Amino acid sequence: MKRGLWWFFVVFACVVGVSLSGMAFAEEIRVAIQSFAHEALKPFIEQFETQTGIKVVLESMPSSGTDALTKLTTYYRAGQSPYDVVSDADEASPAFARAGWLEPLNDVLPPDFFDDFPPSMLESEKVWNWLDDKVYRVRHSFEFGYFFYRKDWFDEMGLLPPATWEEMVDIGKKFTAQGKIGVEDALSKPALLYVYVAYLTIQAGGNPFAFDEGFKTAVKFIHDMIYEYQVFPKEALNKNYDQINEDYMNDRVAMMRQWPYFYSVTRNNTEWYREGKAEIALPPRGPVSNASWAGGWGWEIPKFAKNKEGAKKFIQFILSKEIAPKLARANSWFMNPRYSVMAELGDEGLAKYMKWYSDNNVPAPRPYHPRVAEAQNIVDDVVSAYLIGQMTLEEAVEQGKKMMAELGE
Amino acid sequence: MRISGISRKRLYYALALILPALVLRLFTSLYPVVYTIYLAFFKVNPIIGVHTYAGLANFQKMASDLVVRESVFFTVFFTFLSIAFQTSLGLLVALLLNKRFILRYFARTINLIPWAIPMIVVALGFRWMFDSEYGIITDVIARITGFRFAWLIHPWGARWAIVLANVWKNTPFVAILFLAGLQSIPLELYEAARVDGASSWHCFRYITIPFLAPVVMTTVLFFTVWYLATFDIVYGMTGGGPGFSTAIMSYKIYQETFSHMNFGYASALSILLFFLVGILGIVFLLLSRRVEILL
Repeated sequence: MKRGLWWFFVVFACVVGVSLSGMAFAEEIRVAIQSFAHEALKPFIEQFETQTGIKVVLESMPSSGTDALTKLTTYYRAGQSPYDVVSDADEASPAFARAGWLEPLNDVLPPDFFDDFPPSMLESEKVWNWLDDKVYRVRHSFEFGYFFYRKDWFDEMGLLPPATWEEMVDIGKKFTAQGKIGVEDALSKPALLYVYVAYLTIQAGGNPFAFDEGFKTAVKFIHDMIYEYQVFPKEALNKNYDQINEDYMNDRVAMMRQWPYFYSVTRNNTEWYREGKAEIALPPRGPVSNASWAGGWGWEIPKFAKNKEGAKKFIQFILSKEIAPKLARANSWFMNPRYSVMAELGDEGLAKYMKWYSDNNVPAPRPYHPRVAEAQNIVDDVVSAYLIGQMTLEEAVEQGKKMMAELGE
Repeated sequence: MRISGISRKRLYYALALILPALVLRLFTSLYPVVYTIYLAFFKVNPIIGVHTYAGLANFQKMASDLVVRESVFFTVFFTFLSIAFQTSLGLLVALLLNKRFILRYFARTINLIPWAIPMIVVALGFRWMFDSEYGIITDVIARITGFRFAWLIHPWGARWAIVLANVWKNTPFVAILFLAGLQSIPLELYEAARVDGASSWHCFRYITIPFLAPVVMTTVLFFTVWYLATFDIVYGMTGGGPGFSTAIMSYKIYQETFSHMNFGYASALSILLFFLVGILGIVFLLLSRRVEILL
């Protein structure tokens, strides 16, 4: 028995030793960002490693804000972080900052850092990424929805892009008469329906979280586009972005709001794309404006990062005026309207449209709520229920207001 | 009974060896349960920096929460229908696989393929298959009936689509369990019954069902508990929509925990789910005893 006990402790010690040895690491940082951005980052990471001697290990992050929130909450709540630097979403970052789970970046950024930001972007940064004058996140992507349309079809029919909601409906009817889809967007839960509701609500002069008149106008407009004018497919209520992109690239859709990445998706589909198939126009104007709300992903350092100093050096490097523009040229995921970035990109590709939209005051602040993920879910739930007939508009507004009031701090 | 010195040493040695596993088990099971019950009586949200005693407020909130009411309904609907279909179909498949035919071993093997596919993959696959424009299921039905149904945007269509996808995935496993039960029934009973002039139906009713009853009851109980906590198929297929029609308890708990960070409310919902599982489990156990007696 003594021998057995002795062997037990030997095995136990070996297991503990192996486990602990895994915890020892050289100077390195773990950077988490969406996998489609890894290739573009690699040359800059090599440069960083050469300059600082800090090894960078790239990890993957989800592409959806709510998935990012889910993934990171589990770690942060337990006082841990597997990453030293994270590319995080609007849905997650403000919540984490308020929960005290992020490291302030004020001492990382040069004093004139934000001079490189145009007023619209700086205002949005202050609302979403600053708390009590401390900067917790800096966006590397700052994007808004673009209005894509089939210019080739419009040219055939002698049409111009719609300037107003009403024109969009009239033109949409012409295309649905041909068996095509006039207007489409993804209306599935979670989150995608909110994106379109917020987009139209801002154009109607409202705030989706207030369930105000602008909200009612926007939601009724979606309802009417589906059921009364029949220019918008009901099937979109369960479609995600992959599915509507498929619809568009299967030559079924005439007009569609979509994020900037769709510009690259269409151009990279070399078998299908021809000039005119996915052009960009200014958004049709609603009752108040033709705004398109802007949001994005940004760099942050978790409070529980193992190598904060290394992480800060990385943030300083990757956000610098020297590197950020080159990174934006390498991948549109790093595109934003910072002056240095726009100077680098000139009038190429999507940058041309970003400038055009900015010059026409299209970018609008993203609707803010301190508990934004929960607030967005409320909008998703009640609007979805209204659009499928589970609730009337008045019931949806009442239910939405009640649920929003319960969020109150 | 007195324990001798040697026996006492062996006892201590045994306890020392199982203690790490026991501590780990208690820590990973008992501690979360106790902490969840504790949290259910608090308002806890790190976003707004709240951790205050709330009494029964979380449970009162549940009673007026429309999404919770819809979730409870669909959770029970999904569980009962899935169990009913997969038990019936599973028994049918098991009876077929129990017959002697060429390639029956191959048939038994490929029967398990749906069950081997991860549920989230099944959910995403069926999301496309039920798509009103690209879905193969929708297309086949449209070619046969001339009617194109938009499953996933109609509340009842979405509910049934989720049930059907779930039944497709899990019936093979049920069939294999029933097949094992069928193969444990002595063949002499069937031979004796035939000698006495029993028909196939009589053999099935008076031999197969009574002998298979314990396996069926255990399988149904197991899957009932499993389905009441289902999450991935709803997450992948509909996200709880359209509207609230496919909201399910575990998805609501996930939302409240990881998206909303309402840990107290999520804990209260977890307790509700626990009671739901407990009540249905007890009801089922009582019913199963009656059924066994009747058989």
